Amino acid sequence: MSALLEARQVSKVFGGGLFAKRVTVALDHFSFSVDSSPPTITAIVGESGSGKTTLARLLLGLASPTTGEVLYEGTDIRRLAGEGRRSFLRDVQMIFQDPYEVYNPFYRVEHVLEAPIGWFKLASSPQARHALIEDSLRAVGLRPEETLGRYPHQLSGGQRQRIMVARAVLIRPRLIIADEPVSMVDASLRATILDSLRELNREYGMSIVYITHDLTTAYQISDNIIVLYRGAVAEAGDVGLVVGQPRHPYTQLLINSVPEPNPEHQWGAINVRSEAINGSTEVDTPIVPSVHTPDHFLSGCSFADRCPYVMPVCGDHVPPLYRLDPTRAAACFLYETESALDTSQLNEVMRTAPRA
Amino acid sequence: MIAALLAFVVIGHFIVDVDKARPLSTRPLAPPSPSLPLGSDKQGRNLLAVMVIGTPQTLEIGLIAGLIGVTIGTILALVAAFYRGVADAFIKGVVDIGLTIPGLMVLVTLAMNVRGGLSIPQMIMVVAALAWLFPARVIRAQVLSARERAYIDVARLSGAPTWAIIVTEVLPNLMPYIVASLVGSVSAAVLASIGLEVLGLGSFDSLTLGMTLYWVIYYAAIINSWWWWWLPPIIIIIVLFTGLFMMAVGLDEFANPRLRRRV
Repeated sequence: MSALLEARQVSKVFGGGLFAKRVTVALDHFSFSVDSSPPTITAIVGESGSGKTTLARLLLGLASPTTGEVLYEGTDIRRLAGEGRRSFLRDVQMIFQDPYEVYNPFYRVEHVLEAPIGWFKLASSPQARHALIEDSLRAVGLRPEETLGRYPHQLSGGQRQRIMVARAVLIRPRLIIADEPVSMVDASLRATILDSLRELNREYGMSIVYITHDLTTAYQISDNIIVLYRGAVAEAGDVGLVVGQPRHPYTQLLINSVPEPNPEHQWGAINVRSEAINGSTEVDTPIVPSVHTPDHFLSGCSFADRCPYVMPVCGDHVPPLYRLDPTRAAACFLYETESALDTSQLNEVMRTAPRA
Repeated sequence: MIAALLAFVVIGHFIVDVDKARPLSTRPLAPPSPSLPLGSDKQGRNLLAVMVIGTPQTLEIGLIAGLIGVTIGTILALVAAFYRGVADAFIKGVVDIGLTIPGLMVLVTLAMNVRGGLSIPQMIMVVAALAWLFPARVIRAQVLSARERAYIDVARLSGAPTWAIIVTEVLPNLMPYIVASLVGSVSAAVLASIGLEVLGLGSFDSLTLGMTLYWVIYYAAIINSWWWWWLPPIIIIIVLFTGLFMMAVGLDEFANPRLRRRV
């Protein structure tokens, strides 16, 4: 059986026209698949510019991959037309990052709920349509009488984002791609929205791809995690393992960058106990990451210029994914001794059952 | 102000004998008097009657030419910006080149090839032939920015086909720009038609504001201090343009819900 949605060796390159020599590789031969049963939550984590949003747009067919293909139940989504395309859109929906931009300022907020009902013919009568809208709003904790009939600029960011979640409830897709759904929402409302997502997963059986830069929320709601760095997978697997005991230097950097409410503690700098990696103690000074990429690193590991454990091999070869645990893989030459995985086998390290 | 102008025309039709607008219907070159409120011109036209007939005709030329221009411009802009590719390159090229050619020159060339001056429908077509360029350019730029908005993606994910996205999502947000460029086009069309007529390229039978000005220049009314001849058409033209501007402001308020809320 083919997966609900599968990315196969997908790359996306921006730039590189006739005169522009510089190209940006937003996604580099990324393979990944999501299934709808059992419903799982997969977090895709990375810093700004790591290819997260590009991945979301590629998965939804809003952008076309430079190479590779995105398959919906075995068919390339670019070849979907008519009924196939409609069923793809019914099955795979998105929640966007910016709750301000997703509303057409010309319409009242219910427009985003009415449009899919209309195009997917979800309701047979105006009464049924109204009931559907009200039910979906209540499902995300909004009062229909306070929301309907308003213009987008009259609602708060949190309310707007919950209406987008309500839209997902209404369409009942099998997979939701949530692109940083809480990054532009007040901290106090994040929990509500994340709860709504969790509920979509548990109660309605929807799989969720949760794209974020925030490890904390990823850890809270997801089952699996994929850490992206400059368009390539750094580490992937069970969220408990990856966040609990990160093995890839980049994941370690990310975990160390999570701010703690403690002014004594300096964050954003690695102070990794190197013995945790290979027993040696030579690296012990904090390394503040630099963000430039020297050209000679382009042929090797993309993290090499920031990596505290950089080795000669890192500049020459791209590290494959090494399987460190049954449910975790990391792309780093530090683990050369482990068995390598092909990039297309990424799903083998994913948990298929939800976390307890 | 446009309403005042229309009222002037409508009321004028009741109180003035419009037949008096024909030459030799009254004593020529009479200054304003109770029987001839705006006086008469050298060919014996009652100038009040001329204004009553001429104003709507000038407006009609401007409005129809402007509407045709904006409609064509908007359609071309949407096609260009939404489908990109060859269509976009072609439309953009034509518009960019067209805008660099002095408009009046093209109009004069076009108009000179029509024998015996332009009738009003011909005038409309000639003026509209250039009126679509600027709206096409302005609106294309707006569509290009609008199509990248997230709500376009949301609509696409809601299963809406491209034509529906253009009509229901993009077009309403373009209304302020379309209205603004409509008002601009109407003004430009009025101006172009008046310009052509002043140059003597209009029809000598039609009584528009432009033709009145043509006669004003022909008989050198300004240096002969026949002020009642040239002042009314100029005032009407000023009122017309101010009114169009006010309309643009008002329609902008209507098309933009944020402004509406404050009322």
